[in-house]
Amino acid sequence: MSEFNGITGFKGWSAKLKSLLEEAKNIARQDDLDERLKMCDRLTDFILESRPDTPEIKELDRIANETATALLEQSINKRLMAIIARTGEHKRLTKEFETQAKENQANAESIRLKSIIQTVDSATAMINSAKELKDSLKENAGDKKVAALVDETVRAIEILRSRIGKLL
Amino acid sequence: MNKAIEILRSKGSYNFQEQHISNCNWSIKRRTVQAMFLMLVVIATGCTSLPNVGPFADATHQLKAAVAQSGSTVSDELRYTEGGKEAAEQLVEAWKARNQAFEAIAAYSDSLEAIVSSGNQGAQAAGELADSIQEFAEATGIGIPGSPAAIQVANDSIKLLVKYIAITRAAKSLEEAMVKAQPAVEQIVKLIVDDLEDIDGIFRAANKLIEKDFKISYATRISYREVLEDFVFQKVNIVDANDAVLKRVAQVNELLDSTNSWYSEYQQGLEKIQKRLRVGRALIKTARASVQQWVTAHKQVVNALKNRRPVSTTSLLEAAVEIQYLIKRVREL
Repeated sequence: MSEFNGITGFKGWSAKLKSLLEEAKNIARQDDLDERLKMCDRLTDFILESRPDTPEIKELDRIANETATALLEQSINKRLMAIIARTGEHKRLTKEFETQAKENQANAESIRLKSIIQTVDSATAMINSAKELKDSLKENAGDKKVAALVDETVRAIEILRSRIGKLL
Repeated sequence: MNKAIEILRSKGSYNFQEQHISNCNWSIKRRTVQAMFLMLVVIATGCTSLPNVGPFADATHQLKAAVAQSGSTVSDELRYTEGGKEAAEQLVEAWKARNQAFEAIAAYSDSLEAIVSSGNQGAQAAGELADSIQEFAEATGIGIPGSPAAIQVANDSIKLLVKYIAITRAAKSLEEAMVKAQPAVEQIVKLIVDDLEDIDGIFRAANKLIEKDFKISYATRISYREVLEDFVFQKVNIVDANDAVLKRVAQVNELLDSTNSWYSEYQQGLEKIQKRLRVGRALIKTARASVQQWVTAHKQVVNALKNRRPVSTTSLLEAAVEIQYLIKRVREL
């Protein structure tokens, strides 16, 4: 059952609009969006239901429309202002995150470099030890076989060292 | 020790001098003890891997997209309202700061991933070197004196120690960075949750304005159709009606049928407006819930680092999938 059933003539529609505007005034004093949306629906229904389309009734429709628009625009503007008011704080925090991100990237690079340098140093030490070992070997067949293996291994470690070094 | 010498001798790789072996004896024992000690240190700390922050970084990027899409969806809705262009531009301008904030947050989460990756990369490089040392020892049979088991222990210990150093350094850096950022993370989340609540309100109000104006644009036609409907469905008693009345009803029915084409357009138009509201609000709601999950996940990673526990990212991943789906739907509208 619509709240507009049985309303006829300008007087009837005018009285109905008057009561709707009273309610709208109370709703406008609060910030309850659900209530505003409901009132907008009722004012829209008023416009759709009011008849006949005489200039007087059309004037009532215009008032109902403006009231519904004002109720919602007020709500939009209030929220928009709240968003704008928080913008400064967003900018401050953005800078904080940017600084932290740069610091983290620098730390990451430092960890990466330190680990790589450490590994390259260890590889260098390993190569030196292996070369020392090779120098200490004798000329017999067994030692020559080992010396060849040492050379092969040193070459492998050098390749690895150079590959890791390229990460620097 | 003697057993080790026998094994190496049997391989025929090197002719051990007894004196050399005797000199090495204490050194090998000491090295083995050292290696085992290092292993114990590593095991005692329990830090053998870094938390996987990849899902956290992915979720941050999804969140950035959701926040940006929420802002543009609402500013578009405002633009559709009569006289809403100025408000739409104000929102676009204000929302830029949110998009920049999430750019910075995404860069921050990427930088956390970079720390983890640098720790893992260092550990990998150390592992590769240790493997080469192992190969060297195996190839020569003399590279590292001692039994194969002792060589293995020493080598694994070196590998673990270097890996431990790289990972510990990364874990410490990660923990410090995240603990330091936690207050800013909490502040920005509070701000963005308030923002999303406000744009949800703007969106609902703007959508209602559009719906109202759309309905009013059909007001005269709707009134006409309702008069016809009233006549057909309420005011005519078909049983008692005479031919003239029935003829009149048939004429009104024809008139009513002639309204169907625009009435169908009207219903489709209304459905489109309402669908936009449903999908847009779902995106904003999901973005809001995801922001809250994101701050919880950040805190969980910090706690995981402190307590050396694994990080659960299931809820974050689910939220990321939902965001992707909703952004796709909003863009399709």
